[in-house]
Amino acid sequence: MNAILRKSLFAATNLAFTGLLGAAFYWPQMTHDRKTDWVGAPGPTQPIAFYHHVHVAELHIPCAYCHWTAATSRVANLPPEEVCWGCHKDISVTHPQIKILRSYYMADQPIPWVRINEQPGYVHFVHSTHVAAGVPCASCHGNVGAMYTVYQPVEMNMGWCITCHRKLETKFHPKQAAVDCYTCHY
Amino acid sequence: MPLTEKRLQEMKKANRMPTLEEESTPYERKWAIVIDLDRCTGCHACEAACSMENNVPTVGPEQAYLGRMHQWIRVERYWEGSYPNVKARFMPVLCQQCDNAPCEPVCPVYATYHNPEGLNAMAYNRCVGTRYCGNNCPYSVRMFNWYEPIWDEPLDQQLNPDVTVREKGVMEKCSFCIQRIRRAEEKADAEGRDLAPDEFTTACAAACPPKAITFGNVKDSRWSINQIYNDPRRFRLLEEAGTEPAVVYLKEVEQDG
Repeated sequence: MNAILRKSLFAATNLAFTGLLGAAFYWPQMTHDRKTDWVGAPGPTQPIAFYHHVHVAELHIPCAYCHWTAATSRVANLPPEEVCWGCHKDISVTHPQIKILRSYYMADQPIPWVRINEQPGYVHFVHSTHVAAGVPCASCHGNVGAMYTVYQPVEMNMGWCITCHRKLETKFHPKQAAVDCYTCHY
Repeated sequence: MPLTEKRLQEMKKANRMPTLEEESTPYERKWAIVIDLDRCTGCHACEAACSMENNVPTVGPEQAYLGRMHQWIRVERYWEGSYPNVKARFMPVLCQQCDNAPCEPVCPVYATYHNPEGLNAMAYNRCVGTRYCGNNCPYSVRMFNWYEPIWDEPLDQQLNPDVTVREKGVMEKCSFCIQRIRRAEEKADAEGRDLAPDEFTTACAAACPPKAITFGNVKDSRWSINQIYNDPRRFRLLEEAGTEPAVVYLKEVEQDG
């Protein structure tokens, strides 16, 4: 109820203030609010126009080459610039986007990527369990090889999680998909 | 023995319902805690560890005076005898994770329910704050967030990212450190093995200097909790209430003379 009230208040403030004022108007992030705005195409404009369609669809680089902590951790990492630079110090160095990467790398500054996939604070999603269970990355993140700007293909809400978990649930065991609340919410 | 279709048919013939124990048998886990009162020195280390592990907020002296302080585990103190023969007895009380929990049936939105691991689960984002569960709990271990949680400096810098920060209007209680259970499961999953016995423990048990608190899975005999779970000194809090707690206390050993 509290969250709904706050959300409607938030919408009202957004309506009342113009874009600039609305952006300047501070509103704290509530735990019940959705975190991401990038459901469906097109995704946000990133500081560097990273070509997933080149790296994934044409070059067939595995996801884990850059996002390697997905197999061992709760979160799948964004690669540090060293990973980009590992190849791109030699490959297509004259490309304008690579020049932007070079400027970030040489200035020792992080690339301010816009986050696409984020769960609220009360959801504890685990990548490593899903990778260990053999769930393909594309089953949640879509075919990023076909995306020119990466976006969230579906709204990752609980009903969407549960649809898949119910299909796979045979019994409550970590090796099978659990539908217990305590699996994610604690 | 798993509750198969055949077993259900047999029970139907015998005209009886499966018990709680039998219902949870497909799952090979039941988490429990044994607290040896003979070892407990009343040092309150479990309280401090629990508050830090589980993002338990502080409420300030005014709210504490109203009885709204947050402690997922509290050490109760009892004085016995009169001077000079005074004896202090301590008893750490946490959520008993009752198998037959009085808090569960009163929740109108199923925010609290029994999960197959034998835990009395509490889904914070489902809670609407009726406080029925807290009123129905015979152990008074459920805490209600009357205000937005606050942490004094520098405690706000050490929030555990694995645990949700509860907001105003939400009931909260001990979860047997479910985040540690899940972390251990994730590690085991990533390494492609089952949970090892005594692989992890709760924050209170880890912090207890005299090792009075033992946490474990009572359905797997390899866990060390099984050596003391059925100790002759065992008793459970308010056994007569029929709540079937998962927390077992071991009675203090009386010294002669």
